[in-house]
Amino acid sequence: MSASTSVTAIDGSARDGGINWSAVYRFSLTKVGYPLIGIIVMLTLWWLGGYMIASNPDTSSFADFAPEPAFARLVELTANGYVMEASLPSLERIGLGLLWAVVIGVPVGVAIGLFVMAREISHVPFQFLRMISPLAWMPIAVLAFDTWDSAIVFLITVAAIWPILFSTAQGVRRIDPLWFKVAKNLGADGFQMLRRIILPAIGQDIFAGIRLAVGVAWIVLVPAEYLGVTSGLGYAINDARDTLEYDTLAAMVVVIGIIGYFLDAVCVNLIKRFSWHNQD
Amino acid sequence: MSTNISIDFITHTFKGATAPTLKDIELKIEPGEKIALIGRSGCGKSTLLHMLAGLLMPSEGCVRIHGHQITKPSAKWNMMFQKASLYPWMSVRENAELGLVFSGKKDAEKIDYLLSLVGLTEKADANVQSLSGGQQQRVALARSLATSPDLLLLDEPFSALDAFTRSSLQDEVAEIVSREDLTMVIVTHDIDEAVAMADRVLIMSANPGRIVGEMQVDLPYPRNRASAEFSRSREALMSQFESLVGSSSENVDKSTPIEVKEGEPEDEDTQQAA
Repeated sequence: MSASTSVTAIDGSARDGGINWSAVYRFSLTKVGYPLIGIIVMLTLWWLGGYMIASNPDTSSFADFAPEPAFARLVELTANGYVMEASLPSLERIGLGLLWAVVIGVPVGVAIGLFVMAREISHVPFQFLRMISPLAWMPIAVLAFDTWDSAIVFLITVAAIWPILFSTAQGVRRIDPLWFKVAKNLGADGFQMLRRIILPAIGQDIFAGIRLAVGVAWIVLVPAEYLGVTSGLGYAINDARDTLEYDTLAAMVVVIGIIGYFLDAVCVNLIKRFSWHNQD
Repeated sequence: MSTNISIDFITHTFKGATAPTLKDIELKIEPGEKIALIGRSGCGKSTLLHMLAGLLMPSEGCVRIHGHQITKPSAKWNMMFQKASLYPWMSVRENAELGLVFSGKKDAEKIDYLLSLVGLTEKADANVQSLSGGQQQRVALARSLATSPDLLLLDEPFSALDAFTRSSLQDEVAEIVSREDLTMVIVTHDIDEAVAMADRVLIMSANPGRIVGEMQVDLPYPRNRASAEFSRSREALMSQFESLVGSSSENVDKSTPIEVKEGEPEDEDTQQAA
């Protein structure tokens, strides 16, 4: 009797102190296994597409789109620095575009969230402008800016500003009215209210808006770089098409996807960091 | 800090309302007095408290502290609400310190003292979301006391708490207020709370909101709820309340507070200014 109880005790303490295998299993399944399945399905479909293109005589000249030549090319282009060379200008443009979108979008969003009048005045113009494809501004951007680079940054700003602006405004409107009342009661002035209450309260909303903005901006970037400039990922894609290097084209598509994925992951982390919700 | 407050013939009608919410309220509050305003939901007691806090301006009449008319909120007349309303991105200490941050007079020692006063020294760096409802209200109390207010205003601050936490916090706050010699006004619909905390209870009736009676509670702090004097005071207040305001099916219960949330209109009005 006493032996069996001591066994249970040892067993129990081992479980507490040791590794919980069922949790490890569940974790590796959801965090590693499932994503892996997703990647395999995607690659299989790509490979199938490549196989069909290669086996059809009408399209066999595009066979380099398939995964094998594309990945071989990707390794080569990464090694010789071409990937880095194409990515950096794109990242710089998107960074600048996002910066402008934040600098304009957050203050305007706060104002719209706080003041009914600002909300009502801006509603029609903003909903109207929001629906216009950023690429439609291209001719105007080219006219208005001296350099192609600044025209592209402008297009990215135009694409990125709306999610940031509306997410900020939404965040401000969701702030508990009592938080304002208490802060006023404790003697907060306007600036203190903004810095100590409003901005921390909406930090996660701002970054959620930036996350959406990064998605849109990254999509707009490639066609924007078809224009004028001779650097960047969009230029690399266009250039590969003109020179019929379809393996390079597919490799650059992979690069665009991977960078986009990591930009999104950075945003998700920032949202978590600026979130004050209990995360248990 | 001693303060004398006078409420001079306040009448208030909310925008769009046909009848006044408050009519001809006149009241003098002596330094160190602990007042309870009791009445049914909708009698305007919370509206009156918002006016004392400077969060709402009466349509007629005014509130004066030391003869000066109150025109805006200030950390010197500080209000605690039904919800603790702590800022979840700040620790317990940062929440308690907020009023001092606003006035640019951070004082770590004072916050240490206040946190020990409300029994939260060990939780100073905790996330406020990990605290119980009672602990959150303690932080809110420390935050209100940090700015050394002349007047502490409590708007049903314990009504969202469970019965045990509520009564122990009532006793604790009453003791702190009496020890620190603060002037306090508490709004409540709980007769027990009024008798446990106040030395003067004002009874309000609705439509329009008026002060219809008052009763002194001359018991020393900390008050013993089990004592005969406490029961007698409660019975006296109960019968006075019923004779003045009338007993009905929607009675003010001796133990369970009425659930109806009061003050939708005043909340909207005070929000406008935010």
